[in-house]
Amino acid sequence: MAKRIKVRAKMKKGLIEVKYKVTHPMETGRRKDKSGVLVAEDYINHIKISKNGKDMLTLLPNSTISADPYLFFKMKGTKGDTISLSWISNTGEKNSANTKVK
Amino acid sequence: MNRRSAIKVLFGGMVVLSSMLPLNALANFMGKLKADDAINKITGGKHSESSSLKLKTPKLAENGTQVPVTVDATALTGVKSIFLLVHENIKPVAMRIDFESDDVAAFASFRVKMGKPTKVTAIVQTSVGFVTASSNTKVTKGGC
Repeated sequence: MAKRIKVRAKMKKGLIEVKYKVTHPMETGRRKDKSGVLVAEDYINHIKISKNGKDMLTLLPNSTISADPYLFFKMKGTKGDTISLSWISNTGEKNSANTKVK
Repeated sequence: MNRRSAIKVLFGGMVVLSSMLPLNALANFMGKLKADDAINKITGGKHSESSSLKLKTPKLAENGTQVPVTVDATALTGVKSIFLLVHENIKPVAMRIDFESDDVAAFASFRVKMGKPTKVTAIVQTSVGFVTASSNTKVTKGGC
């Protein structure tokens, strides 16, 4: 399953506005599929956001975060900074993305 | 394996273990428990409400699987972390955000799931202590 990370990082009023949309089902382990079988727990439980290689934020989401997590943050910086995000799920899956501030 | 390499392996293992510890401690309040217990576990029972912490949730959410939540603590100084709790959920703690740098504004916006009409609480850890703000959201169609 393709698990993409969509990013938009833009300068606004002197701050970088970072918006993320991470494609992930965020299963709570309580939902049943069509045949009535419980879908196993599968959610992102660790996200790291950094700017130019320096740690900015650590997020610890629970399974109660919506599917396809949307995140919005503001931070100091300038055009051309590199913002990166990496996540790990409770099943050990990983993904990351880098983007340049516009 | 001689003594020197044995010690190296031992120490390496300890470092790995200790780096995992915060996550284990966290599991204490990330799991299934009552919201008030979770708040007490996070704050140690010492917290105060403040109007300078702004928590924005919709009064009525049509879709319980995607409820937008905004926490704005930019009026507070020395913000270390933000916790968000959805009281009626089986796992009340929805998210913990740790601010690692002063460059980041004490502001966060994301979406949570809600099973039924619920109280939502944001807890902000500052260098002085814990500050909370709450609001209520009604859900027409649950999603948890």
